[in-house]
Amino acid sequence: MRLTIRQGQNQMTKATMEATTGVYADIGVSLGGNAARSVDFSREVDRIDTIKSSNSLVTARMESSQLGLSKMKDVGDGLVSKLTALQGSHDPGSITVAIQSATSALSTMMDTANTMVNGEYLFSGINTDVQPLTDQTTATSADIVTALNTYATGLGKGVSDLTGDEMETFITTMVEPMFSEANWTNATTGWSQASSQNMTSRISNSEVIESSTNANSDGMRYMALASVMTSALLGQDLSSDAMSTVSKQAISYTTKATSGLVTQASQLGLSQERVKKSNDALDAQSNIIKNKLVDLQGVDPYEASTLVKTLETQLETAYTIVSKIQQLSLVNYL
Amino acid sequence: MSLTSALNTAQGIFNNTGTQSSVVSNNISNAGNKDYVRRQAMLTTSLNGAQVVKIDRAQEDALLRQYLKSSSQDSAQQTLLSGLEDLKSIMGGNDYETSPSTYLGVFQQKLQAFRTTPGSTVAAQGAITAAQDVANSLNNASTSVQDVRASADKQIATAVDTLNTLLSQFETANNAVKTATATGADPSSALDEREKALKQISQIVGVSATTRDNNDMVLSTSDGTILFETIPRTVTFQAKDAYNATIAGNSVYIDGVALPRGSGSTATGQGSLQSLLQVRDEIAPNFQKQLDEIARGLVSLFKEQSTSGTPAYVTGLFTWSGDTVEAGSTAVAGMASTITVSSTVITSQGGDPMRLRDGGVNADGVVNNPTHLSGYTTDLDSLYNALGSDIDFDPATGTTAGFDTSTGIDSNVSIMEYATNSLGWLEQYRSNATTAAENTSAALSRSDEAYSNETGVNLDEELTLLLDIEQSYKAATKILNAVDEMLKSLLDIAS
Repeated sequence: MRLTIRQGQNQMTKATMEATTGVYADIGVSLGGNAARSVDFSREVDRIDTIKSSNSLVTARMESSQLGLSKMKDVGDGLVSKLTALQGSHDPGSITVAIQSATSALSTMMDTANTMVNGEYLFSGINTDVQPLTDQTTATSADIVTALNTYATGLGKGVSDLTGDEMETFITTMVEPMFSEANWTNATTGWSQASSQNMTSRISNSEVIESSTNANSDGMRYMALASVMTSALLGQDLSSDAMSTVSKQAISYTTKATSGLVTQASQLGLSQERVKKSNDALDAQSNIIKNKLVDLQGVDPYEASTLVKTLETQLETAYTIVSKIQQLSLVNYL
Repeated sequence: MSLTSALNTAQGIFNNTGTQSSVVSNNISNAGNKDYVRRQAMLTTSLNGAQVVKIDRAQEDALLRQYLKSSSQDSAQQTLLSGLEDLKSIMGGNDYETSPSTYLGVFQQKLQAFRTTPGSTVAAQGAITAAQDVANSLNNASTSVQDVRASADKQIATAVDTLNTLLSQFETANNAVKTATATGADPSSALDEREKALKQISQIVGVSATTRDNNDMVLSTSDGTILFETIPRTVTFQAKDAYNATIAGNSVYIDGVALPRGSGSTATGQGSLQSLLQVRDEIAPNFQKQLDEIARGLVSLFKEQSTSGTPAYVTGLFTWSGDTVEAGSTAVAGMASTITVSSTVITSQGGDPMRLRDGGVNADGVVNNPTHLSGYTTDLDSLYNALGSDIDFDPATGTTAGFDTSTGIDSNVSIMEYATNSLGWLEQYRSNATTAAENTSAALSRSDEAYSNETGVNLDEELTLLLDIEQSYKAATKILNAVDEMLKSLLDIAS
């Protein structure tokens, strides 16, 4: 009887706990070796949560990058329209507008490329703690003008006498190389301190994606080329033929720039899509594991509460019997 | 027959009822005493009516043997279970909050967070702190496991002392029994005394008893070593003051023979001693070995290539007192108790947590990100992956060197799985032991019930006997009166 009461009381405590919490009162004893699986499952759920929260950081980084890229593309498009207008008339007013537009396009690009989110420069590649772009317009413009003069002298002409073809040769052979990737990233005279290697992020157990882009891409280099060239050369006293060539080349470079930016944006877009898919997969996985966890360590609360009731009755019966036996003694009848 | 002989018979009745009522009252007064065996005054017919020839003790040898056996088994099982409970409590409650496995999980998550924002000092410090927690939990678990061993050792020492005392009590009682039996006196009290000692001995060590001439008893342990014959055999044990993973405990010697330890989760041992030896020498050391392997795995996973080339690898984030990277498949005793996080990454000790990202945690380690690019994640990613993939202690050789195979759990797994499997191993042991403990305690309760049903005192039975005795006493007084009347009439005639 003592054993019955003791066991009944122990079971009662356990059943009450199980009825309220919905899991085994002592998982280790109930599951034995399977307790390891229950721990594995809980850890897996936590791990998925961590990956999801880091995915949200990654998504934030990529969304900001997208925003920056589309802003740059917009100013590129604006520049193209101004330059196209210039092709029709070479009046000083249009030239000033074009030069202003080029300068503002450049400054927008510099601002955007130097955006910082969560303490990381977005367009720095993996060199996230260094500002990616430094404005070298003054030095580069001076270089272009010097080179132009040298070029004209070499041909035995004044700058104003250069033909459209000569100007085109000058631009493609002298100006464009100034914006090559090597010069662009030159540690002392270059524009960019960014790393050409992009950030990678783990977005699921098996997937690693490129989650950033950098300022060394064709898009930004051509954008800078078009802007600097426009403001440097249009300010010179050029023949109308040469002027047309400059604006034509500037339009071509700007178009290259915008298409480069679109390529970058679409690459990021692909990564964004993969993050989204991976999040969906992680959610599904997390749900499955949570269900398994409930299957493994869960107790039917109704069963447990029924057990509590049964045990209550049983214990009460035991108490009654004990008190009855207590009263049963011959001594009372002698 | 004469009136005188009738008188004698009546006198005999008084004698008998006196003895009987003394036996009954003795029974009643011991009604609550579990170690008391019920007695009964046996009557036989003699020339003058009946006479008490001996006081019979309701001895039940078969049931006693059964009781001793289940008492030893239950004591062994309960001791084993409480040892396992101690080990389990090191790991925390239902969620295993303090287990190395839990801290490893957190560490892996922090590593992922750091990997996502490799330029963030906060994230780096988060990862380092989580690494320190892992190291601390291994240190603490290791200390606690050794505490469990030390406390088992102390309990063994106490049990051995108690056993020696009980054996000398047994000797006293046994001598009293022999004397009483030889001289024909009533040995009941001495027998009770001896049985009480015997029951207590059976809880400490499994015992089987054989009775010889003059009720002399010989005790041997369940594996045949003589524990008591005429005089008690000495039980010796040398306790150790402190324990660490490399210290092995001393054996318990009974009459010069080492007492074997129990094995398995359903204790094969009999009595608490064997189970204590099992906890101290088998379960706790194996668990320690598993902790040591987790520590060795961590040191190996975070090792760095050496700049000098000899040795090929040096310790990285995790280091230990030996400060070497152990290849191969053999556990190093005590590694878990000395594992720490290298001070070169701890800010408060003048370190730089970013070394975890760049490499070169060890002064002799190769730096993989020499320009400290803040978005560098190659190392972090491979570390994160390594935590989740099957471990290879010796990547230089073609074959995979997994965890030590002698720890009783899977050896070719990732460190995360190994840590949880270690919990699983303990819980499997504990779960089986719990079931077995429920069984043995039920068995003990049954045999206790059976034994006390046979030997215990039932108050009601004694009271009815008392009524009988009262009646025969009254009848005897009637006889005495009648004979007295008759003799009186006879004498009146004569006068």
